[in-house]
Amino acid sequence: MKNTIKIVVAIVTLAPLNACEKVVQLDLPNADAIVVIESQISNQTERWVVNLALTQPYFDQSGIAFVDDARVYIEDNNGTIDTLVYDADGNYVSKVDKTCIIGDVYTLRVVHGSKTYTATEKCFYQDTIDLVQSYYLPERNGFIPVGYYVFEKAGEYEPDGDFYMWSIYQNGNILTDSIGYLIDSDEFRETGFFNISIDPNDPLKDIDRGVFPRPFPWSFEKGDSVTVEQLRISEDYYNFISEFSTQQQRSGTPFDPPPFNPTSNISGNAYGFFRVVNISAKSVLVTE
Amino acid sequence: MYRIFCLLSLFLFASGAFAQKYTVSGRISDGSSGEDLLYSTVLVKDKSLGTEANDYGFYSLTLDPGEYTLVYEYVGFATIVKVIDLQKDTTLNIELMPNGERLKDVVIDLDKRERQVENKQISVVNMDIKTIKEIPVIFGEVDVLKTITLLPGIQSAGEGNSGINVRGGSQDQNLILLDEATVYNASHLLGFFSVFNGDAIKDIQVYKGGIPAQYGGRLASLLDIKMKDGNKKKYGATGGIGTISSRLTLEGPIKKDTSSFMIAGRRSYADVFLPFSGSELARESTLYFYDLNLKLNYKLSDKDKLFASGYFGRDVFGFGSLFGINWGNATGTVRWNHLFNKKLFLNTSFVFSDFNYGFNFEFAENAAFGLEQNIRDFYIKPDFTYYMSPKNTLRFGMQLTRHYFKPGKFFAANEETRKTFTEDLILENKNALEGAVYIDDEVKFSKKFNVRYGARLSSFSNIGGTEYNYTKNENYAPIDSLTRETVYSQGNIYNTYWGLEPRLALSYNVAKKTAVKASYNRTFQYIQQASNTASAFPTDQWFSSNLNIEPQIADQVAVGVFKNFNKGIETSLEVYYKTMQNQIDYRDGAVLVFNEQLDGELLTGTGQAYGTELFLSKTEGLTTGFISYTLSKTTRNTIGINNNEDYVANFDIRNNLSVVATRKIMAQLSASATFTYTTGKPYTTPEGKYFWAGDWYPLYGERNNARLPDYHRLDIGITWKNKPTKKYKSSWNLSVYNAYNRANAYAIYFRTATPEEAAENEFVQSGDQVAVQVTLFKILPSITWNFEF
Repeated sequence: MKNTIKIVVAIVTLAPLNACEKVVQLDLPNADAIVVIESQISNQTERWVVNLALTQPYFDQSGIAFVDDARVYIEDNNGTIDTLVYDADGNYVSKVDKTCIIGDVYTLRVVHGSKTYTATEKCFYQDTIDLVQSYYLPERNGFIPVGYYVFEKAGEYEPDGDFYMWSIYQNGNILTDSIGYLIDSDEFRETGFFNISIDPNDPLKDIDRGVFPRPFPWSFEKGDSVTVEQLRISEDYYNFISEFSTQQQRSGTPFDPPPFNPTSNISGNAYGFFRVVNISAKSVLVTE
Repeated sequence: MYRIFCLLSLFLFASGAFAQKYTVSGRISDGSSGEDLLYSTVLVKDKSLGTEANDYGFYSLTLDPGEYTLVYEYVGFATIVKVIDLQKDTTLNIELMPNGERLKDVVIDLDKRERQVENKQISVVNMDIKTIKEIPVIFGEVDVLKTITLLPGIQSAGEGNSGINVRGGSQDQNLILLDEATVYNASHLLGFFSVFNGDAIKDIQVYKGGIPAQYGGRLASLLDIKMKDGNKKKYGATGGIGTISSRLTLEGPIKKDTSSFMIAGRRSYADVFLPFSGSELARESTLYFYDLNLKLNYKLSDKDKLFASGYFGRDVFGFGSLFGINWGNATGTVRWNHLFNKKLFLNTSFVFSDFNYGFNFEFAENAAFGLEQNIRDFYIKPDFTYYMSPKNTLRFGMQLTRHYFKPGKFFAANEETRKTFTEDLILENKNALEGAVYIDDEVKFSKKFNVRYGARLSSFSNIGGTEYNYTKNENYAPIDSLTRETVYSQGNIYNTYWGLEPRLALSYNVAKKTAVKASYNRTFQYIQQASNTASAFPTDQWFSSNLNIEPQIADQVAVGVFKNFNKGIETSLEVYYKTMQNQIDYRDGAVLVFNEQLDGELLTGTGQAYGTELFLSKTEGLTTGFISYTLSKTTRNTIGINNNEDYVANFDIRNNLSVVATRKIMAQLSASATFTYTTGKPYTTPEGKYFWAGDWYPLYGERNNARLPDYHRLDIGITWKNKPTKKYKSSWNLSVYNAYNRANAYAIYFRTATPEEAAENEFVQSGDQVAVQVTLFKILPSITWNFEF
């Protein structure tokens, strides 16, 4: 909230004063390139993919420097080791479709040159989504304009310490505009996307009183097919995304806190994140 | 502690009755207005004896019976010489008359120049309010805080920011007092102006080091600002209409030569012009401030004088009905001066200080919320001064402060919203008690050698409330499941810190008009502001030491050479070194707002600051001014930041140069110019970038690994005085800020280029990573009309 307040204040202050911006050329310090690892494996049956690239000087516009000479392994806590094979564009792919087993722990190991990088995550359990439904909001309620919205009702496995992320698809296309990442923890389950207090049999019964389920923050068109993916994630990944989002909100004024790199779970002086998620999905056709 | 204090007071009171000598004492005041002349000097001619009036204009000299020639002096005033035959205790009140036009070619005699060197305290700056008024700053508005940043060792926190950094200290490490009351936030309009109305101010003393034992609670500096009392001789009004704000001050006698009042008000009106802006955002904005200073004083008797002063100010800022923010200070001080006898002076201050700030949001009629925070102090502060002899002045006293912290209340801002948001969210209030006793002795061993030594014993206690014990992960973030709380009952004093703060200042006159001085002080600070940004925000929360946060401590030594030359040339060279313990910083991603467990976000470490300050001023003749240069460095080392290695502080400005000149061209016309140059401020840049989730993002390296471009600008101004009438004077001031229109960097940040930027810059294509420099102020002319009745 504080960053939002500062951004608004900074903008409103600077606008009347006609603060100006210009692109400048700077000599920035350049650190040695390090490996960046991005990977997500899940309880869905699919090829496991690990992407490797190198960091580059900030103003280098020559394109992504993929890593194609590494050895990549994913091992579970039962001792099973999968060797991923280089495909293209920095992607290392499992030879066959794979599925994370709920409760198991997975360790990624990347060997590049003389260095080894590792990360470990667990595949957590989650309840499936109870309900995904759409509704029409006839009046702006202060936060949400008029339109069609989609919400879910979901339960919870443990009372505290759960973390979630959502991906929303509209007619098969993932929605990734300026909304950013949808993440939540069960600390706010009363007011979060879980809509725990809503009666699943009659979720819209109080809509005329201005009480209605918290929807996902996109409006839709009647007839849209909307898929809600709820991902149970680790606390480490939740923190990574939170910190990542904070960095994207920098206002460019002295009212910003010092910048920092979101906390990676990769050891051995590499960067990025290896995450293991449990996905539950449900779809709805938007109707009145 | 209190019993010792009372015994000492009684001893000193009684001891005065057995003196073999006689005392001449009284008050020194401005003969044209009745204002006390603080720190004016009284010398005994040919005897190498003398004293200085205190900050109420009171002086006392105890001498053997006999005939003496007393010389009363104050800068800008005609000297008075009195011959007395001292055969009994004598009261001698003196009124000095102003010299007249300050810019006339006034020659100060050589002895006076010599005494100015002797009397000047190391690391202390006394700013003449007249000088401040001649230096227009942004928008042509006189600003106390911005002007003192032209002096060595004092740096501006940045353009558009009233905060100051003194000798490597952060903004919250400066104690700002207005008639003894703490001012927690000294900025209007997000820091573009300070809260101090120049028309209401009489005196400003800035202590960068060598802080006397009677003051404490902050590590870096003390700004002691005194309001005018009000003209005791005649009624008057002063004011001005400027580009951004207008002001009016009324003063006059309630009872001639006995009591007076002063009331000064100011209001900005940028909001009047915002509806005409080309920017829609600006048109819907609200942006204004107002403030009011009030002072009353009454002479009850020859021994008793009463003062009451108050300040109230508010900033209001908003965007339509969607968002608003407001903050403000309110202070009140009642002071009682009492003379026990001609040698023992007491001032007792009763002080109230409040700083509150709030936000409000309204997204719809049933979605309107507010957030309020507040810090409030009540304190009592008796200060004794015992003039033992012309060579020995003893000061002692105490201070007891009750702090009330209200960290946050989030609430429904109207009835419609309250129907669904029925309960307020309130963070637990915090309470604390801060105390101190001190003793300070000033001894003139000889004409050449003076020593001022003392000590302050401070304490800080937490009262009632909830404390947390944290277990942190490898990223220094508290692990919620392992956080334990302990609840202390209301009124229960459960934690006390003590601090012994020695103070020492030495002065040795090596030759005529040349002195070498040195000082040492240790200071403790028990409250601080939660801010992890380069510029402190007015609404950054104040919080106190507790079981998790030890007091901050600083040790500073300073050595300086002071030399005056003929024709009003004054020079000084000071070197200082400061170490700081328990310096606060915040873990990456810290949540500082509305956080019950704010202290879990803190990291602590050490700090170091050192530097050299050079000052050269010319105070006589048609052209006056000064050159100020500081070469300094300040670093921090905090566990959990920058891989536990040293990093330069956000406010480390390596070189800081100011050149100020004022020239009287003719009787009615004068001109001034100010040139400022500073090394660019540190900031953190990327050291690379990485591709993630379909886009490029910066990869940051060390904290503060780069600097903004160097900053420099020239401000010029001219003042035209209209021909005065018997009752009325007026003048016009035209000033230009940033006269050569330099685009100084306010900030630099990193993002991808827009198509427009790609079109304007050959080296950029749309979507490329670029660095963008933000400039706040370009050339800004302004005009102000000032008047005085």
